[in-house]
Amino acid sequence: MTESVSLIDVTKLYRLSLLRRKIGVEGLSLSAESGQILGVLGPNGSGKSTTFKLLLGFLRPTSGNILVRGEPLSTATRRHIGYLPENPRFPGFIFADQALKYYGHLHGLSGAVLDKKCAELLELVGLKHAAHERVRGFSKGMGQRLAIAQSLLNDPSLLIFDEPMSGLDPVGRIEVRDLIRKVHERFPQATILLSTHILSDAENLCSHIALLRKGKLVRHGAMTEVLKSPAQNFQVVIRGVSAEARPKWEKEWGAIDGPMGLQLRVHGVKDLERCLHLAQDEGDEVVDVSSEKVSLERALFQETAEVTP
Amino acid sequence: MRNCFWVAWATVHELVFERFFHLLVFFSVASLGMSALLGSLTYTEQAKLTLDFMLGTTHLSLVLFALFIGISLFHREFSVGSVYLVLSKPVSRASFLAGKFLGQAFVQAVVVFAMTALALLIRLQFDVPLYFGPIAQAGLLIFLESLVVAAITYFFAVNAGAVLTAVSTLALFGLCHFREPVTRELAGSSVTAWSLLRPLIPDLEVLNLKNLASYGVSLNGTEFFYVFVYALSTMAFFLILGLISFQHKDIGNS
Repeated sequence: MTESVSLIDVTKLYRLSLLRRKIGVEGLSLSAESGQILGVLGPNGSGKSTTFKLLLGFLRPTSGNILVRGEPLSTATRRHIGYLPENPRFPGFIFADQALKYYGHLHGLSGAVLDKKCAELLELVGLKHAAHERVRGFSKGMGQRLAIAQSLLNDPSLLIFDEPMSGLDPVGRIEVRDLIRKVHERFPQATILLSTHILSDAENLCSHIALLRKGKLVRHGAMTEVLKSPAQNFQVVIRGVSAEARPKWEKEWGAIDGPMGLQLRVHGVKDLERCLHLAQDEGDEVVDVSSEKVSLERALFQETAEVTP
Repeated sequence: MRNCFWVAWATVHELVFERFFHLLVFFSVASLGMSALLGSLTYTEQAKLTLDFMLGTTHLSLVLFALFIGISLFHREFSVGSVYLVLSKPVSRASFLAGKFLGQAFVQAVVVFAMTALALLIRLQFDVPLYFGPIAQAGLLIFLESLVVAAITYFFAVNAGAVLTAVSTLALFGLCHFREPVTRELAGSSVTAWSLLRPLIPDLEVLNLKNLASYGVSLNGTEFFYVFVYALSTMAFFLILGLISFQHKDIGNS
């Protein structure tokens, strides 16, 4: 895996007046490797959009370095980036295929290559039927899909999707979510950075997450790690427990009946060892041991609660 | 350069579908019609008065066009957010701004050409000399002045909101036209601020050939060349200032 994008100790301060500054992001160090879908999460004002705008060169960092494919940010590095802004808007006069051609020309594409690319992308996003329709007549979902298509024109190695599901109805959300999956399948080497407020979408789509709060990185890691119970709780299922022994299991590990046997909730590795030894000593059959997962919402709630002063 | 062309192409298309542009074209055509009507009210010098009004109308229309279309083109990109789709591509900010300007300049050229041609056509109705050379010169200088106004508008638009841009551009436009009268008025007094400010204010009155044209007088080749270069340098000065500001501007500042 190669590092596709990295921010190194990046700080962005917004100037509010001559003396007053507001923190956009502070000391942010973050990287993503090719093939990852990194969900950038956090409440409003946490610095998600600032991070994306820094990556695209819309904002200049107050300090720190930003590298895309190992190169410092420049107009040329944007050749490798595809961007879907929050609430994308196209010039109203333009037809869908014209819009793609226009943005394709800005990427330096032309002729038959561009025509082929536009047709492919319109098909990919399910807008082939609307190729010759004016964009101003598009629904929000169609506009979003066209915006995703324009972000793929240059076969990007870094895709930045800023709130791609925002403002969409449930059906539109599912369509865009599926489309992002399709994009990931089509461009498996591309790194996708995605910000969203909808945590279930992030949980479904992202391989990694970065949690920002007040411009600082609170947590960054693989989704599987984040979703692990912080206290390392386990679920153990045992079978063959005698009626006399049952109250002990109930008292110690809150045992309840489940479809496969008696379900226990065990806190921590030492407790797990004790539990398994006891089951072995009593001749009970251990059917299943699994690490307990928490929802992303709960995990992030814990994270933000921990850093709240 | 190629990206600059494509941004200009999109700007021209955008303007053709712009409601505000349609309104300005309607205003221009109505004003030209009104000029012909006003000219007919006079018993003598009907052709001269008609030409005076027409060139005046062309001038006013082009200045309003440069100002309001410039503001609308620039600020809408940011308020709507379509600028993000363009600048996320390998397009430099200079190409973006220059492309917008070139697109607007092209449409202004078409408008000034159409209005000047219409003025000539109307003049053909009178039994008087056509004054093609003087009218063409006046039309070209009106176009150049509109480019200067557009460049000033872009400079302010990069740095300020729509209202402040309009007010500042109009104020500077006024100063550019009344630079010499103000200097004459202040001659002898010790107003040092004005003497410091004066060299920074271009004199747009040198581009005003409307009165001369209505008498059939034109500039000779050398004079016209100097005026032409002066107008282009003034335009380039404000456009480059705008570009420098735009290069350092944070886009999407929140």
